[in-house]
Amino acid sequence: MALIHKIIIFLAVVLLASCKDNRQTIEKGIASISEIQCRAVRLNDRRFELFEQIRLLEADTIANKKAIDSLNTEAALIKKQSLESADTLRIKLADFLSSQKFSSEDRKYFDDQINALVAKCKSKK
Amino acid sequence: MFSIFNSPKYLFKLLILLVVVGFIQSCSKDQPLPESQETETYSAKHLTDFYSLVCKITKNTPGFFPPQAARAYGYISIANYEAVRNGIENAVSLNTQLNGFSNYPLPTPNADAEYNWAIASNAAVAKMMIYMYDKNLKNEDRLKIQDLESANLTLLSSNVSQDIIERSIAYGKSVADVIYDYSKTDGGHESYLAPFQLPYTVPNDPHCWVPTSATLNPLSPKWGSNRPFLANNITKVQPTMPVAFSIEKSSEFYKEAMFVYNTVQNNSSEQIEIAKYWADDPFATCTPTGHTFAILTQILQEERVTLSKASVAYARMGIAENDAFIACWKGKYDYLLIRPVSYIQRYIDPSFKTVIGTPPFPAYTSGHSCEMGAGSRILTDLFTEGSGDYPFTDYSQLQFGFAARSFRNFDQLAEECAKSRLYGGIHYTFDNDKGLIVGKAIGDNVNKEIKWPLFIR
Repeated sequence: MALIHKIIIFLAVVLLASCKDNRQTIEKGIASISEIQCRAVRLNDRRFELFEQIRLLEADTIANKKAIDSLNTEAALIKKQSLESADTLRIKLADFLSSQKFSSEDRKYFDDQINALVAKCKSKK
Repeated sequence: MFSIFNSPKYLFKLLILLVVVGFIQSCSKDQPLPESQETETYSAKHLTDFYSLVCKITKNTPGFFPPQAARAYGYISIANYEAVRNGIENAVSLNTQLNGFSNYPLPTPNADAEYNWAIASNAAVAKMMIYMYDKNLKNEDRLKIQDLESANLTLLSSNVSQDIIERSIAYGKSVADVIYDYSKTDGGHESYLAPFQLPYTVPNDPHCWVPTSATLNPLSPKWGSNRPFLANNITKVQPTMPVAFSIEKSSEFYKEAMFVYNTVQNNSSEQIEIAKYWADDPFATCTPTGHTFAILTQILQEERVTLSKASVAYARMGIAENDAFIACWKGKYDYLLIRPVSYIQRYIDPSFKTVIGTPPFPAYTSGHSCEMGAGSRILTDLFTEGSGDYPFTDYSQLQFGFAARSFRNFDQLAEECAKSRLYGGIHYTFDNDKGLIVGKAIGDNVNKEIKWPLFIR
């Protein structure tokens, strides 16, 4: 009987440890992309701001030509930076998500953690 | 006191349970797909990598607006399918099934010779990409295609004899040549060079589209007369106008415009986020079709499918997306309906502002709703085995600074995409509802009218 008790406790610990292990893996994975994810959020906000400014100025393209040109120059730069950071982030995320099979609970945990990170990045603005 | 831990019967059962759970968990760890000469066991990695590059190049190439992008994705997907099709059991060529395709005979592989279908796919996709973006393709992007083709080939050629490699490359490229010839006659050839298809004059009528930004001409007004891959996708699914145009305050049309106005005035922060998320945002994404393909690619990677299933999935999606844009654009220019922003500013509130920019083409029906409606039916048929359920999180926009969005199934995904256009203030509700109906009918046609190989993994 005592042996069975020990085996059960051992297996339970192994199972719990493997579960915790995936959570730690997810947290580590998200920590590794936190900087670039925040950069993507900042660039996203700036793209929408720029687009909005250009949209308003375009009501009079002749009077606002200089301002529109200047914003378009910045928009081109932001686009380039966005695509570069998107590329890095996409590859890192794909590598991470394909590095092991996550259970649906792990996925849920990942979703919650990544969205918490995005929210944190937004609040840092 | 009684405790189950003192009962040998329960302890034994508990032990068995733990062993079984542990066994299942260990089994669920992922096993890499074997690389093999057999078609069904080729990995799809080189292909999913190529689709990520298609997205990137779409963003970076001038002239690739949503219809042009959908067309490029469509032909690339068909080229890939035909390049690997002979290696998929029970797969029927699209040559006899797509509109006008049989006029362009495909090369036949030598029955006595061995081919590596992954290498053929790699060669076909690389060549087709260059064909589709051709004259506007930046040198850096041309190099990226060549580099990826070369890197893939190195990986795929391990333990493959030189004659098989050369034969497979030649076959893949010759398939791409035929698909390119076929594409030249559909009405969209090199449309990226002049996407506004001028000259075109919008009639001067109160119900008609007027410019909503500095872009004074509407996009691709002749796109609706392009040749679809399935004729039925255009002839059988065209919508009628559900609400007659009117400026009377008591009219249904006015009420529809008021609904857009009130929605925008009262949008929650979540609704604004949804509008931006699906806007496939300014400057930096690969159009709605690219977003849908990115979702497909993510699922294919998560499901660890083989090259066979990935090729069928991309072909189905490519056909559906191309035809969804043709059908949608036909409706847009048949009806030429004024955008909500123009109507509201004229008849309700001159200071009205939309949440996101209104794209330069008529309202009815919504392009996003058509394309995601079509995509949702393809995804449902491919991955849900009829139940329709597929809990899923779209990670594709994380790279652009959005949060991940989760859905119960692909219908919910399509509904949210369609509604996002209302939240954005750029479509009437009936644009979105009818767009979804059109798109879903097209997706269903593509699933049913074409003989797709069954039971592939």
